[in-house]
Amino acid sequence: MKKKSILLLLAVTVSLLFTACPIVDNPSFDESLMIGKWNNSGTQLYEKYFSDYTGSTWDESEVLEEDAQPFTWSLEGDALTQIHIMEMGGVVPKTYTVTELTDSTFKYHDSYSKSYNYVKVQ
Amino acid sequence: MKRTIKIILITLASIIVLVIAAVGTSLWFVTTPGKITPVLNKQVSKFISCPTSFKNVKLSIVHTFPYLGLNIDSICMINPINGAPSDTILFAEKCRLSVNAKAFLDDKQIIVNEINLKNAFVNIFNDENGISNIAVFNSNSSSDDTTSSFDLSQLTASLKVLKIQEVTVLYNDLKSNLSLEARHANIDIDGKLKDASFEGKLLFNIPDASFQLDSVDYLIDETLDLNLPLSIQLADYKSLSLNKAIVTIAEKQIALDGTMMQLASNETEVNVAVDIENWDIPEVLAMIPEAFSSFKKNLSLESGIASVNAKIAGIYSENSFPVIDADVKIESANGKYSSIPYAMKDVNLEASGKLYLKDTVPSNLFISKLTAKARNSSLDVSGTVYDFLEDFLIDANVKANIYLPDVYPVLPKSLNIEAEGRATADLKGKFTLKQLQDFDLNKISLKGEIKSNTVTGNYNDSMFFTAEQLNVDLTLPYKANPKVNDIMMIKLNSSKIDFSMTDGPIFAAKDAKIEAAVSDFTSDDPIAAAGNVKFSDLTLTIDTVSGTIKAPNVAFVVAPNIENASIVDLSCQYNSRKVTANMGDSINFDINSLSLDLNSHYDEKQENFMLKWDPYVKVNIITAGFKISQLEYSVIIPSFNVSMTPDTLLLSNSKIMMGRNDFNLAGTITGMKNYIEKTGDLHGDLMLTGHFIDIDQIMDIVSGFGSTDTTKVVAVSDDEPDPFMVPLNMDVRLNTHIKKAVTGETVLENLGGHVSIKDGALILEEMGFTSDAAKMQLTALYKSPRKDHLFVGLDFHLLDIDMARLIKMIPDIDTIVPMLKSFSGKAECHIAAETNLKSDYSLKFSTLRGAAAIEGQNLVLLDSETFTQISKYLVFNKKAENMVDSLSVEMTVFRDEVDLYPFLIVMGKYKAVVSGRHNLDQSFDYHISLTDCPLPVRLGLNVSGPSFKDISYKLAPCKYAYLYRPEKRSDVQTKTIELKKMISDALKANVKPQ
Repeated sequence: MKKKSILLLLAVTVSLLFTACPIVDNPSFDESLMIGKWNNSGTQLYEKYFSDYTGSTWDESEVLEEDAQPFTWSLEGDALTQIHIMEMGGVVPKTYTVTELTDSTFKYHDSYSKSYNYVKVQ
Repeated sequence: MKRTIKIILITLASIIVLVIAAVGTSLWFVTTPGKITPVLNKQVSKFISCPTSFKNVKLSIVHTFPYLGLNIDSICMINPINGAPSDTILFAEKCRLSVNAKAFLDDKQIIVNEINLKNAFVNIFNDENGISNIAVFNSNSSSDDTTSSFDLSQLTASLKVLKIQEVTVLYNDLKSNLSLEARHANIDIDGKLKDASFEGKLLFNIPDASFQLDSVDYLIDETLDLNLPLSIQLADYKSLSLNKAIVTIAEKQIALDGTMMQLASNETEVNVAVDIENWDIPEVLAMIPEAFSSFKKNLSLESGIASVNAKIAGIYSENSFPVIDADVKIESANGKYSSIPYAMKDVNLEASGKLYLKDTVPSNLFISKLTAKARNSSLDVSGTVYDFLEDFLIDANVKANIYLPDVYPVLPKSLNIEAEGRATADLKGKFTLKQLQDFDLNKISLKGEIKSNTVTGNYNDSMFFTAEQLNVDLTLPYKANPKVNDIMMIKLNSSKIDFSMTDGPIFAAKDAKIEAAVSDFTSDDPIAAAGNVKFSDLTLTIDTVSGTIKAPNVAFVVAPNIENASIVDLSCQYNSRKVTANMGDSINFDINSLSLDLNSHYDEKQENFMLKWDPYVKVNIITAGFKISQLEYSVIIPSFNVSMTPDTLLLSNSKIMMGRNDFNLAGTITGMKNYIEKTGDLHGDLMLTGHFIDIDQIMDIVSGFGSTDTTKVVAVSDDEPDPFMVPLNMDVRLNTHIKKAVTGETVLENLGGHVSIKDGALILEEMGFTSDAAKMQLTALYKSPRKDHLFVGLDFHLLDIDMARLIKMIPDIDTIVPMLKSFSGKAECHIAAETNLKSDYSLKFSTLRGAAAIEGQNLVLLDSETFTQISKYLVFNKKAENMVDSLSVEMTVFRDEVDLYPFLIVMGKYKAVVSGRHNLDQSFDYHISLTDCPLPVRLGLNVSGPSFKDISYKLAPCKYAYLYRPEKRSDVQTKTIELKKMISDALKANVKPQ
């Protein structure tokens, strides 16, 4: 009996815990603000976003802008998805969570807490 | 000449008439000189129109008995005429004559036995109009003489002896432009002068004789002795016959024998033999009038003896001259001819010839023997000189012993050649002297051979040669090859030839046989030649390249292009037996048999090698071996056949063993011309078949082709390594079928597919092969846009792979996906990866992209410390078998991040979802959600750490409890599943059917 009571109490508690959690709506951002050339602060990493949902990225510590690699992108709410297109035929999807997007600042991070802090350069 | 004779005869006739007159007068008036003299003077005036005087006339019988003699002192005839050197026609200080008085009285014949004149002067002058100062004899004087009891016209006269001592004779004929002077002459004429004919002997001794005709001085103050047994006929056809006459001019004796006869046509027929013995040639040449001595301008004779036996026969007139047929002998002549640049010594000549002075018929000289020496060389010549007055055409056999340096002066200066040694020549030539002087090879005919034991020399101080047992055979002219426009054939045989050039090649040849038909190398046109070159052995050194060739044989044609003379057409067929060569220390090769067929159009204006030579080449090699210092292995070519045009390269039956490689290469490469001119791409379709290939060695060999074309934008330091640069502007496809190939430690079998180079990319396309690890399909791409910016990508499908073998075959994959080594068994793996590389092939991580999909069934999860720890946290049943029923893993590589997308592992009653990130710095962050297990809870475990040596385990919420329960999964998890499918589908799309 005692054991059953304990299990019941535990179940109620867990139920209350889940019930008590409010449903938070993810923020959304204006994707048009992404269009342009961005530089990750403190690095030579660049990204370019075009209005046709294509983009490119390069690191000027190793390559030139003309060597930039292409991707496609989408922004749904705060979920940024980049599909990097390989010349050999495969794809490399990358998903991020946008935390800030203005006409000069673009911040996002991935699910492993790796964050990027871009500023618009063009 | 005839006019001279005429004048002499007239003079004699005049004297005779005077004598006759004196005798007649004396006969009529036998009285004292005081009586005779006036009478004679008076009577003479009847016969002679000019003033004529006799100073003292005496009759003599005693001194001239039985003839009647007449001694006259001072005879003088004066007839001034304009232009004459003197108004005196005749003067004689003493004159004595004797006549046959009986003949005169009985037969009315005036027979003058003797006339003696002393200290006489005779001046005969004809002016430009033909008026003569001796036209003073009255032809009708006898008919007008009524006082005479004789009819003088009935008289006949004859003369036996005429002697004149110390006479000076001047004869000037302005109309004929003739002048003759004989001073201090003694004349002795013994003969019979009768009825306008004379037969007897004339002796003339003239110490000072001069003769000029047409302003040409034939004699100037020379001694002249004439011993002329002759007969002269002045009536009707005038003639002169000489009977072994001797004419001595300046102590040069001429024997004359023959006749001269005036014909009705006013021409003179001459038939005279002339004999000259041992004349000193320089002295005789000095006597030849300048007008006839043009040939002397170039001739300078120091000594020489000449003898001539000649016959002068023919018609003499204004338009013709008798033919002179002469035998000439010259001995011991020494002199110089200007066009021959050195003196000739000891010249001996025996020749005969015909001289046509005025005929169009050429005068020829037949040389039976001509020997001469010049410097250290000697000549022996026989032959004919045709038309020696004009063209001097020589047709001769020449045997010469030549000291080669003596030849330099006669060679064109442009042919700057020097040689040492002696040579013998036996030549037959035909050429004019001018052709020889001009070295006109187009007109000179020459055939013969030149031999020498040893010749050394140099050309232009830059080419040096030595030849032993040299035999040169010349044929000129020679016409055999219209393309070459050859004029000469040269055949050269030598037991040994050494040749070298300053800073150039050195070669030594044995048993040389060279034949060449050559064009006129003295002209400004490019030299053309066709011929054949053979040696038994040839040793060649060019800079650091040295080699030997056994039995090389070259047939060649070199000629200027017909349409464009600045281009040289070259045709060459070469074959030889063994060839060995060393190119410094870098390349050694050995060829057992080599043949080459080359046709080329050499255009010096082009800079590119291929465009400059425009080659059409066929090469056939049988058994060759190459050793290249940069390669640790030898290249063996059992057979090699290649044909090349400027545009196409055709490889056939070309077996090559290169290090460990053994393959046949065949196929065609086209578009070379456009590629070189940078107007088009190079196309190739090659077939590589073989038993074994070491891919790493092949890469070493082909690395760097066209590297300069691909460098751009980024400056490269000299210290930077040279990566493999893919040639640009090429579309070359190499189809392969290799039974076995290795790269690194990987062994590939049944390698089939093709390698392409196109648009600056090296593409390993659809290469299928099997190894002991898997069946594989590989497409790889390598590009080298810049030396420091390379690209490598691969699309790799491993079907039915052994996981452990995969890691061994591609060790780098263990770095990227460390967890793979936790599995054992067969799986299917699809990998796509690409990155840019630096020049040392190190990765540019910012460009690294990759995706992989691994699917396996019934894999074994290897027991390890890590697995033990995970089992403990997740309450795995350790007794459970570590079999993984199915595995479907998708992962991506982005820069330094390796993302493992959530995948499900099913092991018996346990189901777990694993995901995480692994960084290339070996740090990692994984999560494992235990979604099904015998326990009623959903456990999660985070496994993380800076490396696998320092792993942290931490229980966490179960992250993927509903990932594989579609009805319960969240939007994010749905998105995750979609991305996994996207990755997998994109990779599998490239798998080709097996």
